[in-house]
Amino acid sequence: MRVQVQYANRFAATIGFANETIDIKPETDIAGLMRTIAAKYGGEVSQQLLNEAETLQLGLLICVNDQQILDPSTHKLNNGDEVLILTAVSGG
Amino acid sequence: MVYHSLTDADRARYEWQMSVDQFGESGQAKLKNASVLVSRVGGLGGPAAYELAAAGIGRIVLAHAGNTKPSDLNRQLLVTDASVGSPRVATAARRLAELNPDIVVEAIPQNMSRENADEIISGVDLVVDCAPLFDERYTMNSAAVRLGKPIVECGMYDLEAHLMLVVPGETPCLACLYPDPPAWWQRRFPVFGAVSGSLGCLAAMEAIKHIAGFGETLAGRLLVYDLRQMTFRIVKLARRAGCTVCGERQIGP
Repeated sequence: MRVQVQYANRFAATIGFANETIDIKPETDIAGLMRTIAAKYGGEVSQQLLNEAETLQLGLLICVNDQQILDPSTHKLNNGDEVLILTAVSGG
Repeated sequence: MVYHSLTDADRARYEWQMSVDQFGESGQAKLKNASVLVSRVGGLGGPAAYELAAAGIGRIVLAHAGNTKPSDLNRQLLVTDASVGSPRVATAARRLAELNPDIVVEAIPQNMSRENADEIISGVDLVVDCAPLFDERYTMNSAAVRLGKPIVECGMYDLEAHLMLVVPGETPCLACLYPDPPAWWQRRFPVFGAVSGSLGCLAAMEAIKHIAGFGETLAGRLLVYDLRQMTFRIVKLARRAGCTVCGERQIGP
């Protein structure tokens, strides 16, 4: 199945574009999608998404179909879902 | 608390905005009797405070430590080239008083911290959080939730900006979105004044709508916009049941 992934500014700057379609297996959860993206791009993208324990980095906000997902590690994705990956930003 | 009615001078000053649908004289009177803390008056808080002063918020408290630096001038619109080296918050307070001498402006030459947050926030009706450091933001979020004060949260990076309104007891708080800050965040980040200024204006409008009670605020929702691509979207937020700040047991009167 396929999901649309929207990358927030910092990810988009690293990857080089702001959205793409990614093929994933049925029953894939958000953590699985993050591992797929991390493996695809490696390096800085991987470090921004996953920590050394291969779990999601701190300060990420993951939304599916414009709804915040409180527990991304167990949220199963559906075909056609739109996944938005944001990082916390601050003022100044 | 003394209630301040609108005067003829108020009606003359604010007549253009009092013609806004669903706002009117009653909305203007609510602004006149309201107090707002703007934490930091830089590229974000400066324009926010300026718009709040122009709109007639009766009492504005500004909190920001330090002196103006040359590198502030690309975005911090309340300070001037001539004020470099001078206390930033005092310059900002003067600018607001020049714009609107009918309101009360208080300048606190301190950043928000665990030592001063409760005292300062307990004295206002609403907080606009424009702080650049997450520790400061989490401190204000905790104090505002504990004291039952709404807080407008705003942040940006590069050409991207985020905005939300936290209403204690009703909506998610900052810690519901981000239980922990991002490890990569640094004090200096890329920003144009036009990005921080746009966000400051939107933050002021959220404060005005909430205080006056009209329109649809961002309570429980996060606005995310990216001026690099001119995209705007709103996502629905969720309260985190085990939130260490606004979880059921933490919310006080």
